[in-house]
Amino acid sequence: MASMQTVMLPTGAPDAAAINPAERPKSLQGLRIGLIDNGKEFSDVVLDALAEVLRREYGATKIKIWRKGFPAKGAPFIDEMAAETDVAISGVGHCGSSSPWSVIDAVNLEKAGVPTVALISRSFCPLGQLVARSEGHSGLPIVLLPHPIGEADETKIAQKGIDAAAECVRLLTTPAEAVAKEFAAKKFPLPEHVVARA
Amino acid sequence: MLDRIGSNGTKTIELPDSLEATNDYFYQQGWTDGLPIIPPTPDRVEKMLAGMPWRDPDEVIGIVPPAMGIATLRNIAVNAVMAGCLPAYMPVIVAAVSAVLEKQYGLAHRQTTTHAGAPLLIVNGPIIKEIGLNYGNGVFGPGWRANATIGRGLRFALVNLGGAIPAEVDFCQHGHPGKYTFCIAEHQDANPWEPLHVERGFKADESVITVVNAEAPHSMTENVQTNPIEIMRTFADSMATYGCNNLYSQGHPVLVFGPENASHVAAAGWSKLDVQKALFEMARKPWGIMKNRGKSKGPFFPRWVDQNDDKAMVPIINEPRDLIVLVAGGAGGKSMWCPTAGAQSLSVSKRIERHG
Repeated sequence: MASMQTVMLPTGAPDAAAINPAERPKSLQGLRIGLIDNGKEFSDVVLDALAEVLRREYGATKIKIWRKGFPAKGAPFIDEMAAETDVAISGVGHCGSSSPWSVIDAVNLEKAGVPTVALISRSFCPLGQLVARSEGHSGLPIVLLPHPIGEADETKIAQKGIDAAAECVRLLTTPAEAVAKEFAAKKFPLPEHVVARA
Repeated sequence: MLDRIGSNGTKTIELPDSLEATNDYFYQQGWTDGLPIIPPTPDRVEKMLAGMPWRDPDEVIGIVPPAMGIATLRNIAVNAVMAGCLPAYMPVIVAAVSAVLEKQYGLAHRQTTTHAGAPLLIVNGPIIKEIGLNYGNGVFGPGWRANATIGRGLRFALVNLGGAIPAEVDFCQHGHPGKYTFCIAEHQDANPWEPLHVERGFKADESVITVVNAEAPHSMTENVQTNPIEIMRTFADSMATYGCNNLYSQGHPVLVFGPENASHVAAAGWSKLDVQKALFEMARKPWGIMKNRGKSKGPFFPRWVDQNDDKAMVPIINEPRDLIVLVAGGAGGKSMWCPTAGAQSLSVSKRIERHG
């Protein structure tokens, strides 16, 4: 048998305390719903369309959209928002800078006891999941949207928000334990154009 | 293979005693840049730590996003060994890690962004010559151990402690050659003005690292003109372009003067601030054309640009001193221009510790 040598690993252990998903309501009827528009291009179109479906089909009457203005930063209004929000949606992460921050906003709302989902485009879901796990929230629900979000026809952009509504509602109204279990085990598809290392 | 926590808190693993076996294993884990590494054995790591004996090896320098790995001196040293650094480089790498962890650098989003930026390290002060950093001909290129391995050591720390594995977590769309290594020094002897660290308030005899998240250097040729205003015209046209992030979110982009271009400008009586003021005024594009293209406008987009006036001219920096101006490189009529991501990631300068 070959002789062995000891080598040191170059990684550092994350040091985040584990967070569980916030307790979820049975339905959104009559609840105060907060949406964070991260300010990334087209997020407003997606979220406005999503809000309209929540109003029309899920009985939501109190919807407030909080606009962050610029996507590569944490929302400065989490405490204020948490105080006047029963359930929340944070998005749309569709690049390498906006996705982590939309996830971190969602984690911070969950920490404040507000059930939240993050909306992330397909290419950035594995990244969003890594950030959630690094923040200690391995069960944070992430709703996968098609990528790219932007295209010439604005109605097609809006359709991405319309199509995401049912999944958002499911993840905001499923018992927290089940959500945690689902997302701790969830494996998102690899992004497009990634060549495996041989 | 036994994975265990070492007595010092850093994990170790037993691998077959060969360079190839360690390289295969580290490569498979995504811990390398694809080039061979030096196996970080405990004795090599101890020797690396001896480059900074006045600091406790288990002292926490910071937390590296997005994986939130803990950067201690010891696990920075592990990455420095892998990169091929000499122990004398440790204070530079530790200063670089501290610099990128400053809030204004915005490391969390620089690690994951689609933008092609890499941490450009700019070294000033006496340490340049003490450790043999290249500041002259070929400054951005290969061939000098200190430049090559310091940039690579920082890069390994960012990938391994921060989890920024390319195409899995680091979504830099096309990657960046500067993500192998990206470390230069200023040619202070050829700089007719004050060097960068002095401009930023440090003493001339202090050694300082400045880190800025920069795109690849773009060569600007001006072999013909010696008149400063004409040299500025050439530079300004290279710098203010519709694809450039700085036009949309400003920040701290970098102009690296070649010594010849700098000497012409200085010979005409211009100061460094004159250069910065000229490019602040000249490197602009009209609002009417850039308003609906490129990207979203950054949080520090200049408020004084009249957005009701399509002819209003938009600068690539918020104020003259935001342009980082240094002198480096060899003989020839070229200077280099490095755009940056924008004001969401600003440059940071840190003193390099020299003794206890």
